[in-house]
Amino acid sequence: MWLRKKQRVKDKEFDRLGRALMREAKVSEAEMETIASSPFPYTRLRARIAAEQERRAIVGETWIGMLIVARRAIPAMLVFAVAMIGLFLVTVHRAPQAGSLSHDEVLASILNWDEQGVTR
Amino acid sequence: MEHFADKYDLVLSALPSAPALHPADDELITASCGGDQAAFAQLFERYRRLVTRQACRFFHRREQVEEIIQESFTDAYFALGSYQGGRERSFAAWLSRITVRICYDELKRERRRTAHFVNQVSEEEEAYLSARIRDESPASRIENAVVARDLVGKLLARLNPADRLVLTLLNVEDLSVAEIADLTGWSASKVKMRAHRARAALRRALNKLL
Repeated sequence: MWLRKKQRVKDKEFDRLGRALMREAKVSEAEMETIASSPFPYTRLRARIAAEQERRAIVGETWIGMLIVARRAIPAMLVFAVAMIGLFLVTVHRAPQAGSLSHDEVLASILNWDEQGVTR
Repeated sequence: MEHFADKYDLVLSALPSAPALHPADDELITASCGGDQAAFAQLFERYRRLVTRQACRFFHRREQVEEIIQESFTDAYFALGSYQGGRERSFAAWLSRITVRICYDELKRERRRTAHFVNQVSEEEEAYLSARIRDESPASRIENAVVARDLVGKLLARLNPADRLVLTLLNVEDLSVAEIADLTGWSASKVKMRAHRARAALRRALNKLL
């Protein structure tokens, strides 16, 4: 109890010291005025704004370029994908009609061979 | 409770060369959005002292403060379109939020840059700290401010950037938890937690030195 109270007093003392130090380290009004009235601040600000505008324009241009490419590339890729799907479907459906044998036909012919062998 | 925007309006009006607010901020912002550079120049002239004052709370080097001023106004320029306006959200409060965010980003960058070396305290700084504990009045104000600045810089460098931000706003700007929450966009409980951690960290840092 006594130790805790002592610690609390010590903490308060450190808080007071910290606050006092921070206040003492404060920049004075005169120094602030000197900084605030430094020469040509608005000219420098305008230059900075212009540079930032230029940077943003370049970033914007890059995005626009990418959008233009995407605008052409996406439909082209879509057409290509549709064509490939169509080709695949056509191939799958036409395969049995192209003269090749189905599983049932292969089975029937094997059975036929066996029957022919038996009759001989 | 005094509204945060009102507090900054008061700060602004207390400044020595505060210009009369004619034309109104909203008119200047509308003109700036329409490409009127003179209108934005007027806004800059009107609020650069406010931004300087805020940046000086976190940083003491002139180049760093100037960089914060430039970055804050550049960000504000590109975000003017999103400014809502009105009494509840005055331009001063809106710009203050941008400045605090820029300061926070710079604190994070600074932390990354100086993470590997924590400077030792000099003899002069130790002597100054001992005198402060004994509550001795400073001999030379300017000299003490310089020593205090170096010492505080070294102490705060040990803190997390978010803790440092909250502690500075509490101790130097004298803002309440609600005002800090409004300024940073964090919840009040997060600000309280940060303040608690920051005080504990500062105590630990001071304890190590003494």
